[in-house]
Amino acid sequence: MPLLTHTDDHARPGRTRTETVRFCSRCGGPDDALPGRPELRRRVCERCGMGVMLTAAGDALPGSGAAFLIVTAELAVSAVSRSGDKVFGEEGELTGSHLLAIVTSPLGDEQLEQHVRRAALSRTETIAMPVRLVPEDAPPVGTLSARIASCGSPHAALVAVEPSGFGIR
Amino acid sequence: MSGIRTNAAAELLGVSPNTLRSWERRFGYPKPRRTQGGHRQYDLTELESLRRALLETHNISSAIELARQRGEGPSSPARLLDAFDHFDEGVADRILEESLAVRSVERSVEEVLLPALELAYEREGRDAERELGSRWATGWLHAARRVVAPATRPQGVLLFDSSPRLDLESLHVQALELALRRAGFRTLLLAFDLPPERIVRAIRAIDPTAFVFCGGEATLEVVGRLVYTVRQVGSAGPVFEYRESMPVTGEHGIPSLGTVPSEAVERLKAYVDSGRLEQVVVAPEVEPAARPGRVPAAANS
Repeated sequence: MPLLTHTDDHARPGRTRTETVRFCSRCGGPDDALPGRPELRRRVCERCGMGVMLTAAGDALPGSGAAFLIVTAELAVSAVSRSGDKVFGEEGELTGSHLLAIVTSPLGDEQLEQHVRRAALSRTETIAMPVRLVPEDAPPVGTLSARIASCGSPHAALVAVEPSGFGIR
Repeated sequence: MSGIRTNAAAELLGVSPNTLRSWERRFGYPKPRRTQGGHRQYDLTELESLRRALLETHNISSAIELARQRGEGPSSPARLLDAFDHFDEGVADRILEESLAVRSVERSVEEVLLPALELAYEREGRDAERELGSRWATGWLHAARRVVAPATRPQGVLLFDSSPRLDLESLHVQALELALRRAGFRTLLLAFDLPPERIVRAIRAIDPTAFVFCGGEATLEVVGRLVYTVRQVGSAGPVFEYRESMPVTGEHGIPSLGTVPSEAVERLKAYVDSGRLEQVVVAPEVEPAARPGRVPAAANS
């Protein structure tokens, strides 16, 4: 039986671990600051001014401007990217909501919960699993491929989604 | 209120002046005052609060909401509790310093220190934060006690504390001791469970005008033994209780000094200035909730 939840190839033993990246919690844009000079890094995104700069594994984001959620260990949504507004709903309305009120997984919500909670509590490898949107009025995007990774600070899970092409109604 | 201009405020937060102005338009925070020349003047407290909130949240609106909550009033119990939660004794010191700039020591203790500790003790699963708060508060109260001027009143007050160390009640008792000393009373605080023969010299030395039972963990037997010892030494000073510390519920005939230090000081002053116990409110207005191990007064008569 094929593994439906998989660890990202870059993070497997023997492979070079992906560099970490800093990205904006709102626009998803990368940090332009010089690496290795944390004292010069800014907390607030210089591009959009509406997000804070977080760090995650380089393979955690499908690309700049991705649709993602930042989720705490209590599975409460603490930030939504601007692209995520179009997929999940407006950040202002979703902040504080439970993750399972927004997405569900065909593999079982327990697995989804477990991966997200683990990522939010400690630094874990990026994993990918299918998810679907829960609300009835959600856009008809079918099954999404979600990358779940640790990010921070403060510690949280990054749930970044992209279309998988399956199950579009 | 100290204020700084837009560029300095933006630099402090690590954002551009345009970002700062866009937050003001969108969220109404930080909200600058305007100088006579129309320039924005940002409050340093608001900026510092926001700077810290930005480190603790994942988006700007949550950070602003958090900073707003913390920024309510100068040196609030919530801010002190927050300092405990971050194990930041430096910030805790600063909050009390700020409070002392606008409040007396008594009000700082009653309106900031003790309420913050009560909040800390109400929560579950925050034992380390609570202990830090308790130890820090003990140190702060001791430091405040050391700088109190010598007693100005001839009357002495002997406090008996039955609370466990680092307990919330123990901090209430220390706060009472500080208030009594600051009111000019010669004050001595002793543990409730000292053997009677060990307190005789203390009673003779201080010649207390009044005895106060505090802490709420005493047993009837110990209370009885202490009162017997006090009377044997020849002291006729009245016995009071503080914060419902007597091990019986209901009417027990022991006058109460109330539940906060300033109230206790006022009642003691009323007593010693008039020499009449009637000046002190005797019966509590509300029946206190029974504590474990307490005996109803009727069963005790």
